[in-house]
Amino acid sequence: MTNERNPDSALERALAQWGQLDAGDGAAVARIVQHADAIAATSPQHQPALPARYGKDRRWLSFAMGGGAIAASLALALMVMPQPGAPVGKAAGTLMGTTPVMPDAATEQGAYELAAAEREVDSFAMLFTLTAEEEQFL
Amino acid sequence: MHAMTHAANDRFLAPEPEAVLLLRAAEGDTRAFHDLALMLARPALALAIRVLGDHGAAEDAVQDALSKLWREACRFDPERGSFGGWWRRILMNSALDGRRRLRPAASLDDAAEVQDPAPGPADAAEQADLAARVQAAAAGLPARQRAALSLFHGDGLTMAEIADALETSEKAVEGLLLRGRAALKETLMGLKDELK
Repeated sequence: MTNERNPDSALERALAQWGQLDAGDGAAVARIVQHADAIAATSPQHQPALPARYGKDRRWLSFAMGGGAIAASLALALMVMPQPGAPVGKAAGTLMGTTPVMPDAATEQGAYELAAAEREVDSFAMLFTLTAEEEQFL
Repeated sequence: MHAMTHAANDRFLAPEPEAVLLLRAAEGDTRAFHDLALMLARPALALAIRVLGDHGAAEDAVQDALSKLWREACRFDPERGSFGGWWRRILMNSALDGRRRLRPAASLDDAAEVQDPAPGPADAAEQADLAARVQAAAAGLPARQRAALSLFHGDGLTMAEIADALETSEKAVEGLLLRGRAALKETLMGLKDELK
C-alpha cells in the first residue's frame, strides 16, 4: 500500500466523507484564536529567532564550561590535600598557605586545650595499636 | 487544509506564508502570531476532532498546540524542514497526549440519528450522516490509527508526511492504515446499506 487509495469504494467513500468533516464551529475557532492572543500577550518572546547554525556556533561554550568545572575541581582538591612533610595531626586538613593555631601552653586554659588535643591524637592512635592481649592472641 | 497540505519540497520554491509569520512571531510580533493562529485554527480543529472524536478535547488540544508553537517559535529552522511538517508534529503530540482520552461523541446507534443541522439537500444530510457514522466507528480504534487515517483521508498526506507527523516510519504508518481500515470496515459492516 503506497499513496494509492484502497479500491474498496464504499469504505473509501465513507472515509472521504469523514475526512471532509469540518470544524464548522466558528465560536470554537474564535476561542482558540483568542487563547493564542492571550498567550502571546502574557508571555513575550525572550529569545531572538535562532540562526540555522545556532547549535554549531555555540558548541564551544559547553566545552569551555565543562573544562572550567574540571579545572576548578582539581584546584580545590589540590588545596585540601595535606602538604608533603607536614606533621600528621597538625597540618592535616589545613589549607595550604595557612598556619594551624595551636593552644598556648603558658595559660591554664591553653594547657587544658593542649592536653585535650594530645588525648585526641592518642585515642586516635590507639585505634590502630594492638593491645598486649591482641598481640598474644595473634 | 491550506496550512496542512504543503508538500515538504514546496519550501524550495517559495517560503511558506506560515513560516514567514512564525519567524516574525519568534521576534515578538504578536500580530503575526494572531494571523498565524487564524490561518491554522480551523484546519487544526477539524483534524483534532477527527483524531479525538470530541469537540471539547479537540479545542483544548489545538490551544495547547498553539501555546507550544508560540513558546517554541524561536526553534523553528526553515532549513531543516517545512513549517507544515513541524506544526503537524506539534499538533499530533498535543492531540495524542495520553491525558486526552477519546470520548466518543456518539455511539453508532446515536450516529444513525444524526442529521445535518442546517436544512439543505438530502444528499448533503446523507453525507453528514455517513461521516458521523464513520466518526463513531473510528472511536473504537487506537488513537494512532485514527490519526493516520485522518491525516491520510482528511488531509491527503503522503506516507512520508504522515510518518513525519507521527514521528514513526512509513512502514509503521502503512500498518496503522491497514489495521485501521480493516477494523473500520468490520465495524461498519452492519451499516453496509448506508455504505452502498
